[in-house]
Amino acid sequence: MNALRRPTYFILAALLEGPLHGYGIIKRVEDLADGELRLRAGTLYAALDRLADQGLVIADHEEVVSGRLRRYYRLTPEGGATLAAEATQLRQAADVVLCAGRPATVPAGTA
Amino acid sequence: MTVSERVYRVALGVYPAGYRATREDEILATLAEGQGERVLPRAGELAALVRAGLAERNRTDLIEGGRWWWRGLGSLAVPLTCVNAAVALAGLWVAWSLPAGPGPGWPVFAALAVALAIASAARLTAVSTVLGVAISRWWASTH
Repeated sequence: MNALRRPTYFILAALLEGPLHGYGIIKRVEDLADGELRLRAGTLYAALDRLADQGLVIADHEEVVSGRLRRYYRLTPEGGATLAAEATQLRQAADVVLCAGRPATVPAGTA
Repeated sequence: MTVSERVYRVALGVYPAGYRATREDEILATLAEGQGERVLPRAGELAALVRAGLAERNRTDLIEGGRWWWRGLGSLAVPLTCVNAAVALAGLWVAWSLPAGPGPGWPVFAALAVALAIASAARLTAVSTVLGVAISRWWASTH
């Protein structure tokens, strides 16, 4: 399985706690990434289409708020499993460097 | 309808019609929520819409078939529109800097160049863009 791209990873992570609509996903991703990742609407919907094609997310329900359509998306079981597998791989990759709690050190001569 | 919504709606014209029919209202609602009190549209959002729209258009063409050169022309339409606008502006600048001025027919050619640029942006057909470039080049070379 290919590694998830960063925006895709955070979109899936944003849906962990339940269905969200487009702007809800954008805000949640921004919060999860500590403001370092701001999704554009065009990017978000392209990613959601791709994830829906792969069966990782699915449209959950719709509502109209202030005359505007909100479509909510949720993780599928496959989406949850893909996200968990990616998180495990990332943790293993991080452990290679951080070695279970030991802080990363700068090799001598490279500072 | 706000100014930003109007502009975003034009940018959404890059997407295939079938996609717009099912998604336009939802995307506009998301953009409106992110817009806040801001009046003008965000350049980053516009660029992302155009990029994603072109990708979706290519994806749809690949799924539905179509000739490779037509898909290529469709992808080239936006950069060609920019080239068209640049050449038209350069033509205007050259024409105005000549001692004799731009000549009596310039409003007609200017209107043609603008109309073709708008047509190419709206329909995303490279043909009108190429015509626009040709007309503005010819205009610049004859004045």
